[in-house]
Amino acid sequence: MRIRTTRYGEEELLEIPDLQSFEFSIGIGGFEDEHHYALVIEADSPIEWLQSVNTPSVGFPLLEPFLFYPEYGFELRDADADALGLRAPEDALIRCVLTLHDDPEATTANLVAPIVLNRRTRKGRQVILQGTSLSMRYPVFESLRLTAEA
Amino acid sequence: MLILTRKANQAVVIDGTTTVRVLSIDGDRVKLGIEAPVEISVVRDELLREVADENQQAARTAGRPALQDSLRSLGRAAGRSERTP
Repeated sequence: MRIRTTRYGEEELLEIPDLQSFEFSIGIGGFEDEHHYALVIEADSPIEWLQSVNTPSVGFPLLEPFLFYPEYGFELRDADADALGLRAPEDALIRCVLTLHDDPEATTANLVAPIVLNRRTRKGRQVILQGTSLSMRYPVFESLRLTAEA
Repeated sequence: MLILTRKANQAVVIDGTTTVRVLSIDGDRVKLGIEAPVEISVVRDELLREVADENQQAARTAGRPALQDSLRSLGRAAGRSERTP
C-alpha cells in the first residue's frame, strides 16, 4: 500500500505493508473523518507514526509507553476490546501520542488517551481513560533516558 | 437538538436502553445518574475536547523539518543509535 505523508514537511511517498494498516471505526478525537491509518515504523528510532492513509498532513507521532513509563497500565473496557475484536492481550499494540517541539526535552506524551491497535483484526481506536491521575502531557525525554539506563 | 425540562428525580430514556436521571439540583450544579449498557461510552464533554485539542496539537507540531533533529535526540535518549546520514 502506498501512502503520502508530510510528517517531516516535504511530501513523501511511502510503501507500507498492508499488515500495518488499521481501521478506526470511531475516528480519533478532533479527526473524526479519518478512519484509515497506517503505522509507519522509522528505521533506528523508537518513534512510530500513525499516518492517515487519505490525508498526508494528518499524522501522529507515537511512542510505546513502556519505554518511558514502565509501570504504565490501564484496564481496557470490554466494549473497547469487543469493538477491536481483541481476544488475546498479545494481539494488542499500545502506543501514546506524542506532542513534539523543536526542543526534544519539551516532548510530552498523552497517557490519558492511548492508541490501542489489534494487529490481528487490524482495527484501532483511541481509548479515553476516565478517573485517572495520569497526565495528558507527560514529559518523556528524561524518563526515556532513565528507563533506557535502568 | 431536543430540549427537555426535567425536575429532580425525573429522567429521560434514550433508545430504550439508557436512562439519564436528574438526581439533585444544587444552585448551578446538577447531579446526573446514568444507567447505560456497558457498550455505551459515557464521557465528560470537557475530557473529549481536551483529548481532541491535544490530538490537534500533536498533529500540528508534526510536519516541520526541525523536528527530525528533535526525534533523533529522543531516539538517542531511548538508547538506540540512529543511522548516520
